[in-house]
Amino acid sequence: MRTITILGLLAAGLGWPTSAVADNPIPRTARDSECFICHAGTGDARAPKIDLVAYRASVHALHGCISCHGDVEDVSIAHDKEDEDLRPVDCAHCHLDERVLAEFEARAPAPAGSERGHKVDLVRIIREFDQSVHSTKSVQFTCARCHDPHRIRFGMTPDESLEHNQACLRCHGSELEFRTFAHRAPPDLDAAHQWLPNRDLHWRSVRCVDCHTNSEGVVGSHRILPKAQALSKCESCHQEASVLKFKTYRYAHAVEQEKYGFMNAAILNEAYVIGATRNQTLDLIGMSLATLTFLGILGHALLRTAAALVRRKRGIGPGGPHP
Amino acid sequence: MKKPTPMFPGWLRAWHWVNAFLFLALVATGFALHYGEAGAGGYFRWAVLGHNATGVACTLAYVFYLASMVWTGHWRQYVPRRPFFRRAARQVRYYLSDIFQGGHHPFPATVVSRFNPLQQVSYIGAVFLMFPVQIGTGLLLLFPLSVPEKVASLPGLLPVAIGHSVTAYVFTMFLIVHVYLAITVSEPHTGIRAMLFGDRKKQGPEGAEGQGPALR
Ligand code: HEC
Ligand code: HEC
Ligand code: HEC
Ligand code: HEC
Ligand code: HEC
Ligand code: HEC
Ligand code: HEC
Repeated sequence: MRTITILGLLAAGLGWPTSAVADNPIPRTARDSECFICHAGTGDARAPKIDLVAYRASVHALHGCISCHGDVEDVSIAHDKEDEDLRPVDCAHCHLDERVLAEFEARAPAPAGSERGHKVDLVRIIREFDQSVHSTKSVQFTCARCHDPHRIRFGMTPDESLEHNQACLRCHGSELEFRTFAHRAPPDLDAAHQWLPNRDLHWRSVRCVDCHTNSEGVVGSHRILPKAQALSKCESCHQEASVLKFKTYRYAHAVEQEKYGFMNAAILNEAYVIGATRNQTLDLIGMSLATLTFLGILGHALLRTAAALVRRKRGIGPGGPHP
Repeated sequence: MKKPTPMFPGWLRAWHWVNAFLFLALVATGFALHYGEAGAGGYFRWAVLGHNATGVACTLAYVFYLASMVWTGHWRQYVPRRPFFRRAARQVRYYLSDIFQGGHHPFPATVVSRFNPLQQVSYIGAVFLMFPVQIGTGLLLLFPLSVPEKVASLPGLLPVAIGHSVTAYVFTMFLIVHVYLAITVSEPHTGIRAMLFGDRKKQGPEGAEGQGPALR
């Protein structure tokens, strides 16, 4: 059960009921109430429950359960057996194909005054997702690993379905969950983030994706980078024109307000703090001067060697023109 | 026969090498702290520990140096001789031109006057200015609560941190020049070997090569 083994993208090619959409006049939501008997009601205690209120408010509610769970068309299907796992839902099937999407939209237009219109660029998100460390390393990764597909709203704001960093910690904080993907223990997050002072405070205020995506200026990048490329410069956030500021995150204000108190706070906490004594101009000057000194020395040494060679050639002894 | 005075007395050599080791450690850990970001393998914590420990050790060594300096009269080495500017200019000329012609040190080191005029100024700067600044700011960073939180609406630690960085850069430059001169320019009886072993044999109290300037 729930061991989803097929690549989601492959599923798109495996007879998705797209063609059926146009010539089937019955709204696809017609069957939903049947599903609710077990999946929101008391029909079957073993059936996983979904939050009806959240689902009704979600963006896909108009399209019906079977739009996504196509292979549960026949309720009499005993979709409860271990060996009859349902095909994983493939978001890209609808969202990368303008035509399919348009069909669904035409079929169940959103009522006037709904939130539709806060379009997010799902095509971009799916592309980014495909490039993330997760998708490139593990084929089992799907959108639903992080997002509850039954709560997605228009212009979805992160906190609604992600509960802040819980989306990441679900795997990275749980050995059991992580192992189902990587067959090894998850990397030690404490050790990996030891360099970050006030770590817990940061994790309460900053999202994992703020550091782990290349989201400079972009809200909600899904391209989770290899760890070596994670954001680690304190200045990127703790400065006026910071990465964080570009992202519409609610704590951005707090950071700005904290700006002046920062250095103190940083140093007061624990020990010496990276970045606190750092000043880019100063560092540039310092490093330049040190490099110049070194080059000067090098030039001096070379000149001396050259001069000594010349003297030797002219037969002037090592003592030189000594009086 | 009177035992010859070493060019560098034992306490001085001991301090010099202890200090040299601490300096290298401080520069290395200091740079690691200053430019450190992602704690690859948790080196950051070690850099903090190492920097704090060597910093305190360096402070103690400095106090020892000051005390010994007063005790032995070594401080007189730092008193400039007259005519200072003429002498300094001659030393500059040596580094910028005479040295390429195989000229000799204008002011060969002797036991009573080991430093040439340029050495003297740079050592005065290092020992009596940079050391105190670096140790002072370092201690303040170690005990940041002793620094007022705000000075004229800026963080109180800001000037402290900047002072520490600036001096660190100057010290780094000092080190580069110092090592170069010590290895390639110094006279045999004042070079690394002398600093290691004292160079007892060659040196009488008056110095081997006499006092006279080598270049006219
Ligand atoms: C008779 C009760 C019942 C009805 C009606 C029902 N289900 Fe289920 N469903 C279950 C049970 C029980 C499970 C859990 C199976 C298990 O854990 O072995 C389940 C599991 C599922 C799963 C998860 C399967 C997996 O592999 O993870 C999906 C998706 C699902 N149902 C969708 C639907 C849809 C869509 C409908 C309506 C068309 C529906 N169900 C109607 C009882 C029902
Ligand atoms: C936007 C597409 C979409 C719609 C619409 C949708 N689901 Fe799902 N559902 C998913 C995805 C994605 C998963 C995660 C598993 C997977 O990837 O197949 C899932 C999982 C489930 C599960 C298993 C959950 C668990 O915790 O094991 C059940 C049960 C389920 N859906 C029932 C329903 C029912 C009932 C409806 C209609 C009320 C519905 N779904 C509508 C996409 C959808
Ligand atoms: C059956 C086709 C279909 C599938 C499969 C599907 N969606 Fe959708 N989705 C739609 C439609 C239709 C809309 C409404 C688009 C509109 O009205 O602009 C939509 C809207 C959305 C939106 C809101 C877009 C916005 O502009 O705010 C998000 C987010 C979204 N889907 C995510 C997903 C995710 C994640 C999955 C996979 C779990 C998924 N969808 C699977 C059809 C689908
Ligand atoms: C302030 C920026 C920042 C935040 C916030 C952050 N990380 Fe990281 N993370 C990094 C950096 C930088 C590294 C690379 C450390 C290294 O190279 O050792 C890293 C490393 C990792 C690694 C790789 C560890 C390994 O050894 O393979 C994982 C997994 C990870 N982070 C997950 C998370 C999760 C989950 C969260 C949210 C709870 C999070 N990170 C929050 C900056 C951050
Ligand atoms: C590794 C976990 C993870 C996966 C997998 C994932 N997301 Fe997200 N998603 C997030 C996080 C975290 C955010 C909030 C990011 C932000 O707002 O900066 C988010 C935000 C979003 C948003 C809202 C963006 C906005 O601008 O408001 C959409 C839409 C979305 N994801 C769609 C998808 C789709 C589609 C997929 C699959 C292709 C997917 N996500 C896969 C973690 C994930
Ligand atoms: C479904 C479980 C799951 C979720 C949810 C998840 N991850 Fe991962 N993550 C993994 C696995 C498994 C790996 C190891 C991949 C491998 O090395 O094969 C990994 C690896 C990583 C790495 C290390 C990449 C490297 O270079 O070694 C980072 C960073 C990371 N995840 C960040 C995140 C962030 C940020 C989130 C939340 C937005 C998140 N993960 C959510 C399972 C998950
Ligand atoms: C991804 C952005 C980000 C990065 C990178 C980041 N921080 Fe932060 N930091 C924050 C935010 C946001 C807060 C505000 C937390 C709050 O007040 O809730 C914060 C708070 C702090 C605080 C506490 C300030 C206070 O007034 O209590 C310290 C100390 C701090 N950061 C130090 C650092 C250092 C040092 C680094 C580099 C190693 C760093 N941060 C990297 C975003 C970041």
